[in-house]
Amino acid sequence: MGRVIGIDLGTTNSCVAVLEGGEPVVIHNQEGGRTTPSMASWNADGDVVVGAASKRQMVTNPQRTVFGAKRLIGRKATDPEVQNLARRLPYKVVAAKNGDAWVDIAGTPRSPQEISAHVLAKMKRVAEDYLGQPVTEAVVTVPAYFDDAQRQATKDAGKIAGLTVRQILNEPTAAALAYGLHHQSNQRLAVFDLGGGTFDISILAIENGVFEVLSTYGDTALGGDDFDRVIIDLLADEFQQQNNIDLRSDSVALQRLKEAAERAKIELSSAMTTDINLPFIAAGPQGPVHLMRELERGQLERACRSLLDKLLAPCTKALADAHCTPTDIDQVVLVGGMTRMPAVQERAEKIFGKPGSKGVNPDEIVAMGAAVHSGIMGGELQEVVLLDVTPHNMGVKVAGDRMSVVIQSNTSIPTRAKKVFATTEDNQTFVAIEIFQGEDEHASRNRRIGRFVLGDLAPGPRGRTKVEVSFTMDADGILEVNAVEVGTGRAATVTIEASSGLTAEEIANLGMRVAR
Amino acid sequence: MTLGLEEAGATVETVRAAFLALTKQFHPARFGRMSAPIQRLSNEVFLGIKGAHDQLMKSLGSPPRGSTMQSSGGMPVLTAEGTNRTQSRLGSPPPRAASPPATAQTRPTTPNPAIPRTLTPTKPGLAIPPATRPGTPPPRPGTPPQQRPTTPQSERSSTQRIPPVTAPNDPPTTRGTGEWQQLQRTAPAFDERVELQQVLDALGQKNWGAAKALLNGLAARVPASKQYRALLAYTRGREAQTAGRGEDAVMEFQRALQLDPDLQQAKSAMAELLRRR
Repeated sequence: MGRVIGIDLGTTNSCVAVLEGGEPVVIHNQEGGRTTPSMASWNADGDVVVGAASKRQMVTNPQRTVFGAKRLIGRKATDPEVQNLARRLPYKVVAAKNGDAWVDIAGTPRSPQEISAHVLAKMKRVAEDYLGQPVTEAVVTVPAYFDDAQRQATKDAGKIAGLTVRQILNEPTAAALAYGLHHQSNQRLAVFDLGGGTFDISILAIENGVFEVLSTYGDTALGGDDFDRVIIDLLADEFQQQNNIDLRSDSVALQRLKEAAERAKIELSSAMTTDINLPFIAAGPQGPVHLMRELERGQLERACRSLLDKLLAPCTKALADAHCTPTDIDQVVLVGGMTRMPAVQERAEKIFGKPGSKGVNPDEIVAMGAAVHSGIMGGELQEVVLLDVTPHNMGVKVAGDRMSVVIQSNTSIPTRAKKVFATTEDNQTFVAIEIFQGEDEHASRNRRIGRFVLGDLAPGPRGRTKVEVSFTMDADGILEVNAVEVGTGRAATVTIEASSGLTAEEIANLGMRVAR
Repeated sequence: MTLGLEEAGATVETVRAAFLALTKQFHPARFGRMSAPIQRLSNEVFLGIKGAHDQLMKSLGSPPRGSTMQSSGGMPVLTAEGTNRTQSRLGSPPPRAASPPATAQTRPTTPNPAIPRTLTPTKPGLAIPPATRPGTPPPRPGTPPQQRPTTPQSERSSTQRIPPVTAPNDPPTTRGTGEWQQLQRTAPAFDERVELQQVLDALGQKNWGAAKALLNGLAARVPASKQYRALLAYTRGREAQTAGRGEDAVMEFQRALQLDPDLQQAKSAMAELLRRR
């Protein structure tokens, strides 16, 4: 059997690691970087470039350069978060036939799965060059708060890239595995993961080498991109006041602004002030206009206050779900490039009452954790194992559009749970079982993930005929639902194959294109 | 033995330690690179381990960890209709056993177009009855439905009880937690139990021949029970295993699991066998 690689498929950057002699090792890409920008560009002749080469095209080829595909993957174009995001992107987001959010590149609609597949294929090649052998299997990480469709879409992206995704691992959990490999004493960890696009918080207990997730919570719309956007708006608003030109309406200017904003944000993590220098950013009535100013750390922090405030609520919720107080937490592991920002570190310290652990590289630890997990699967690491949880409620729609929860969020998986339901009408001969995922008590406001019908029920007065519905979720988070009529034993079973919106055929076709 | 522990003197610490050790060995991630059927089986094996851990911890009075599996057991009362009605009905003896759910792989039936009214969104056609009888604890997820007076459950209950009983032929009604009593109240009330206890004792002593003879009798008397046949297949599998006929053993365990996919012993035995290879 070949090696299994660990890939952190990030919103902005991706990273690949393998296990060597029981230790996770991050692999350098062909350009010498330890992380690779999660970007792909299509040239005029249809060629695709990925990674750093694509990032260099961001300014010259903005409409055909896609970054942050992870924020679109497995989502609908009508999703308010997607629409909000699409307004600010230099490339065009369109609705696919099935309603999914896709990207229009020079008239060709492309799925986020395909774009992510290019990034994954690049990471696969990086690993193959290093290992000197073909790689066909991977552990890929996703934000803990990703739902079923987003996970499945990520799996499909792997398939397109020629990788069998052996496990979709939660990012904070992966970070905990990598951290805990060398800190195996029994303890409780809080993993505070603020990445490019998402914020996740997980509370874990390490006990005799078993890493048990106690709770996880997150915000899928809070990340480094949002901080960049605050800086972009700060600069663009000011520029508009002075010059009456909205830089955000020009995709090249917006792209340059985005790059400058990201650089300024990173510099302000170590310096107190930084210069933003964008000559010839726009053309005014009196000729070219330049954007030149100094940005102070204080200014940035004031502008980002509302974003920083959003960090507290998920932490409080995760602690409560884990039946913990901040004093129960022995270590806070900071993950994701955004945790380099001093204001973010301060917030984390304020919430948990202790500073974040040192000696952890927040950009690489997730990929390292994915490699550790590949070792657990391959048997190299016998003394470590992971018990993860499901982040969302799973339930059935009942009378009055109510969501009856069968598997609660933060239930450790695999798990099986059963509930009995009764008919609502006399002589009802079948029931439609609709399965939903989400936290709202109204089923229709959650995500519907499947539906099936149990028919030929024994006729009887309403309430008398009962159906037992059982949910089985495996360690991969795949759900199987089974319904049995109590008394007669009439049964129906469905495996909820979360659909990522792509058919097997589409995946196969894309696979050939990406591999080429 | 449950979780590899002797029944007497189990404490929260020993149960937890045994669970963690078994988790390291049998967590489905360990089988993540194997074929789909093995992954499926490993999932079932681990569900059994986890179920045993949760039961034992509960019976030892340990608080739940996290929000794991605690609240979904309670049945929220939903619609006014059907609730009181169902409640009063539940006071009477429940109907006899349904066949095990997982064996029926029926495809979802297409709804009859002549009766589409229950499919309209305004009438979803489902409500939650308070299936709990007054005075009994609500069924826990992972616990088999109360209507199944099945052999494996009774066997499981007798192996998981804490503290252990002293008399081997003690009828099951007198032992265990409230949870199990709930099961036994609905168990068939004929002398099947005594024989079943003898079967379990024989199995405990690894006396496969005696267990087989008893089970053959039971299966003949209760031809409808797949569980007895499952247990019989399991016993034959153990016999084959003892005799060093691994292939036969796997076949018998598979047959047992086909008959009763919840048969814990068969799952563990199978996993153990596969692990050794």
